[in-house]
Amino acid sequence: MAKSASSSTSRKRIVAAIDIGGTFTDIAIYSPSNGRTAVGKYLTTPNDPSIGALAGLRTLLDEEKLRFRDLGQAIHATTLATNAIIEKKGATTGLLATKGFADILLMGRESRYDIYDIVPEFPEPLVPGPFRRELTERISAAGDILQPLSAQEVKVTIQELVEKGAESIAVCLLHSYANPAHEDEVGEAIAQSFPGVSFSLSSQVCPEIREYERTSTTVANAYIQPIVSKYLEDLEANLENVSLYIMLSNGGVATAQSAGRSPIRMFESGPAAGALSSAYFGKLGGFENLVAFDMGGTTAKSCIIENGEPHLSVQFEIARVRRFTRGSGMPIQAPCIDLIEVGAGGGSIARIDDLGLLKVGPESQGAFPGPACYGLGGEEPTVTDADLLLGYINPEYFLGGEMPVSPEAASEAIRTKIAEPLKMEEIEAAWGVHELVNETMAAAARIKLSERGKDPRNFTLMATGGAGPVHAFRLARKVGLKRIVCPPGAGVASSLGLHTVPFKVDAVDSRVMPLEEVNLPRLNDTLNRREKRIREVLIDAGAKERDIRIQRMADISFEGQGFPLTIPIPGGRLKKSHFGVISDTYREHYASAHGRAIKEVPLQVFGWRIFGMGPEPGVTFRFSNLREKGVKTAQKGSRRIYMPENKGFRKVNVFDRYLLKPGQRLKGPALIEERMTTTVVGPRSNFQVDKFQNLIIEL
Amino acid sequence: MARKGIDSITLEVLWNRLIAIAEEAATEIVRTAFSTTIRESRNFAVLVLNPAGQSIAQARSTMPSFVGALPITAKKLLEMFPPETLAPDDLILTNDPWMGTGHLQDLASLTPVFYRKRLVALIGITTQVTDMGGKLRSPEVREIYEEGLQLPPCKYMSAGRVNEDILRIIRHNVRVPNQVEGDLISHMSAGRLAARRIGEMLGEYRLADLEAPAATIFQRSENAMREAVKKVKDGEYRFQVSTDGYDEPLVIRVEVRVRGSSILVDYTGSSPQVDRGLNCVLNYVYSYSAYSLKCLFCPQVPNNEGNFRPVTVSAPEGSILNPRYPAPVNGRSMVGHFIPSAIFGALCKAVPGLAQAASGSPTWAINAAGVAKESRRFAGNFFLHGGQGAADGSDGRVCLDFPSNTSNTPIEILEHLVPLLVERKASIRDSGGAGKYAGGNGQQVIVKSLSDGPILLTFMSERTRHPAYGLFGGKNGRVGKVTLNGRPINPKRQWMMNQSDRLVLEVPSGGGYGDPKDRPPDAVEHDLKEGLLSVQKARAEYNYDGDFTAADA
Repeated sequence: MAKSASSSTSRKRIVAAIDIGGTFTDIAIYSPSNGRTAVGKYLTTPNDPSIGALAGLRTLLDEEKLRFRDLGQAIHATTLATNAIIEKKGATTGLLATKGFADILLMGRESRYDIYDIVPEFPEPLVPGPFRRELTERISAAGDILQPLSAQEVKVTIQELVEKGAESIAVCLLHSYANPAHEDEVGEAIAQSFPGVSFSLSSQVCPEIREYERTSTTVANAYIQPIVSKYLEDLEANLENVSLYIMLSNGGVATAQSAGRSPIRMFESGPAAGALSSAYFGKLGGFENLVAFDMGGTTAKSCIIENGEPHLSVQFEIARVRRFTRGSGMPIQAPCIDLIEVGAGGGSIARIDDLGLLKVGPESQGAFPGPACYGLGGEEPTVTDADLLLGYINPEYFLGGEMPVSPEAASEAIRTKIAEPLKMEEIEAAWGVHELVNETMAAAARIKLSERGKDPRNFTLMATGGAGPVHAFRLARKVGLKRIVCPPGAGVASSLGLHTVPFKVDAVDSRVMPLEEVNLPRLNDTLNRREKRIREVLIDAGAKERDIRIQRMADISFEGQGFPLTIPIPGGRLKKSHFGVISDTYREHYASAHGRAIKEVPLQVFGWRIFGMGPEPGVTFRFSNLREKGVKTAQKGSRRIYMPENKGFRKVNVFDRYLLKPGQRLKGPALIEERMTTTVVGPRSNFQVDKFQNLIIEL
Repeated sequence: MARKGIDSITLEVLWNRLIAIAEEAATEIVRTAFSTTIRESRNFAVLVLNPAGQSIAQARSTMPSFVGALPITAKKLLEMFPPETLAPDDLILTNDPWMGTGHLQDLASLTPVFYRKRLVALIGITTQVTDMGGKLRSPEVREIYEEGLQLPPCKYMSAGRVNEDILRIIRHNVRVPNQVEGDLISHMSAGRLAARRIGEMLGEYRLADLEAPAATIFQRSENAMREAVKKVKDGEYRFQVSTDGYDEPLVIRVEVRVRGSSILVDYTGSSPQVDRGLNCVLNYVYSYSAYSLKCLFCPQVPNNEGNFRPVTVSAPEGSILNPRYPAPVNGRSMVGHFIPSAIFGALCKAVPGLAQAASGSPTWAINAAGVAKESRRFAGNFFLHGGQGAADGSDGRVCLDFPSNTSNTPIEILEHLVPLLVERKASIRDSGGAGKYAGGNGQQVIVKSLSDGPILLTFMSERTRHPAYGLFGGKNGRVGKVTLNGRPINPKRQWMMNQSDRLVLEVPSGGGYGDPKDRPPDAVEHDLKEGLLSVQKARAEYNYDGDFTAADA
């Protein structure tokens, strides 16, 4: 009944999903023949993360009485690419730029991200001065060659870079998105003279206009490429006959080999898998428009899912000097699920600032020493401490009772550091921390929704992560969302998400010009070639021709604007007569996003995109190890929790998540506990679980 | 939740929300605006103001020069359009330099925000458009009438309906009508979005208006500013800076008078107004004065009315910093951008460690216009920046805008819009002022024309004769220079560029901070490796005796 992600040959074999994060490695193994799913959480081994992952995988297989050779394939998400940049562990990288422009990387956009900070810090470029070199050549904005390359100069310059120690080379020439001929030539020269040196061409990595952003992206790719591809090769070797697939930031998966060539596409692979897991459980329950919200120990991330598809973004930033400040990091132009860091996590610290105002985060206590209530030496009050005092977290049942927590320590921290300085009651202070965290996240979610002109009342909040279900109810109220869904296994959502992903390949052809001036024969030729290539890649990955879905899109704006909208266009050969349809579609999208369109202004194209997708894996999870042993009835007791509506505590019923009967409707307020989290349900609401074990709260 | 007085936690929540609303409106502007000045260079500001025109919150990436002026603009507009004449979905618009931010290219608008039929807030937006007609933006003009279309305060939109007559007048006066109309639409959609959000917020917190949170925000911010000012010894702190001027240098003389927790900035003694477009209206002077003091004293607190309260600014009428109408004001930034360096110079000894050496400001720009093939008119601005001044503990960055905050124009975007070819854009080695902390290098940009026809060119440029000063033993930065076909030209004038002409701009660099002899050797090594510094200069200025050779670079 269920099919695996790729090939029919591995249909009956076990699929392992491995998500390696900074602290934990989550693993979910899934049997396509009967849907049996087992999940586990293991400590990450930072020096060589594959050791912890393989050990965890063996443990989980043993528990499930399975053998390594039962595995057919593994799907993998990892923070390795991001960490390599943050920890500066990438390769010695060279940059080849157009003559006169090697300093672009140093100069950036020449503006400050905080106007009142007169000495703002910026991340150090990944390519140091001696490794930034220039080539005599020039291509015009229209893609014409104004000055040809000199083969001799190319050869000598490459040789010098390699002799200096460059292990990887980024090539970023002006207007190469419009004409990649020169970059191709340089790439061939590198491949010929130095087959051991890896290289990244901007026209392949990121064929988009704006030289600084393209250079930054290409350099980042070159910088991490050697270590990422080595890591993937090693992991694949250790997995023996299991074929390895990698989760990409845009929500697709690729073969390990192809991911290794464009590692910047893996930056957000873990959180992207989390978003897909939300999309999957949402679809099961019939909820296609979601605000996916994942709140863990150090951070909360969010993403909008519409019609079952996560929103995509074309740019993000890494290695920010200031965590929440746009412009303080390195820009990366790559398609990715539009995830935003919306705020604090459970371990984030609450404090009083110079103005006597309460602030939460971004500093975090992490897992060690952790919140004050852990009793591991942390003295700062955190979000988890506040949640504990409010009664939302059960001190006896934290991580299923495996971890003791101390309400006294939490109380001490909140009282001395927040309540007394603000001259307020301790419980008011705890509520303040909870409320402020929710407000910060709500503000970010609201901006995300309105950027695309979306009405929150049509969206459902999907809460995952250890702290997500604790905060979801009040967050939903603030944003105006009418429903909350907490999927099963929320603590390992990302690894479950890996099982739900179809293969995805995309290509972009970037060229800025008025729509009317598009050269149709050339365009059709290019699009057809790209589409053919995409089909080949998907078939290589095990898809059948008839299961492949292709969508062509165009990046369009009014002539003179700088930021296009991506809209669907007809498939097959484009004709002049299609322009009317394209124009109508664009104006419709524009009016829906920005309120009104402009009549007379003609349209311009930034680029053409093709997305190819393999079949949906169509998984059905039957969890074998989620339920707690020993609990017999759904209602396991009652507890007093803080309720702002009553300005005080109120006794509410506590339920066991996995013993609730599907379809049985209950009324809030209530608490619903499971091993890795607690769902807080406020007043004036109903809740029930559906047959897929989604917990659904109607507000 | 709302009760008498506002508790710290509710206040923080509301304050964050108001900033987020301004931020959301700013995002809307970037996505919808047409002019590259707005969408690429982010030359705009969004403020949430109370019905009295006082600023409560602003978007984060916003122009310093607009932030202080917009509340003054709002108050003046409210005198002409009192609250009882306003309705939801109105848009009041002007580009009057004396009401707004000092030149015609800046369009300032107010969107009234109604909640339960009462005026509860105003959304103030200023954007700099690519073109407002007239002589291409240049200080060469002698009267404001040459500078383009003057748009006195008007209701551009009444209850959601655009005044088509005004729109037609604007379209007829500018070189790129679609761009300017598109920019005006961005004012409307951003203002409307922010207005809706404020209504939602008031509903959620059961507030009738913003009065209570605004009063508390002002009070706390004012207190923070006053606490910081109190630490400075009472006294008069003086300084003077000179600019190139049009033909003759201009002088900005400043006296900063500190009394307890209040500061008066007095520009008595500055040059008289001139008959070239270098005059700087008082709004703009106020904006940069208040901005400079905030950077020194209270940079962490989000900016609002409270930060302005301890500050008073005065400049004699008829001076370069307070000209009388109809003085030309086109290039006002070429005087106004010197204000922070004047104030920092005055206060550098009084606030040790806080002030910064002068930067290679003002913001430089090439403005180009002409007719391309198929008689398509083009007009474009190309922004580029000098080196940043060094400060205690911090080298100046290579090419960073200060005190303004304009992003550069990407070369690939510029070359799409105008038939120019940029041949080089690079840091100028050795140009930053030496110091324990080194000033940032300026940049060299070389441009050629690709057009068959002539291209009209003007520049925003300064410090070609008066360098950015160093502080506490730090050396001055290098001056800037503009040459056409190898010959130095007066960049304050308008020029024509023909095919195969070659234009070279050297943008000035920042001053150093502290004695160069105290610069740590590893910092010198770093600059050598990064190509920011030559071995010769390293030996001469920093006593460098290492064996770094060109082959290492």
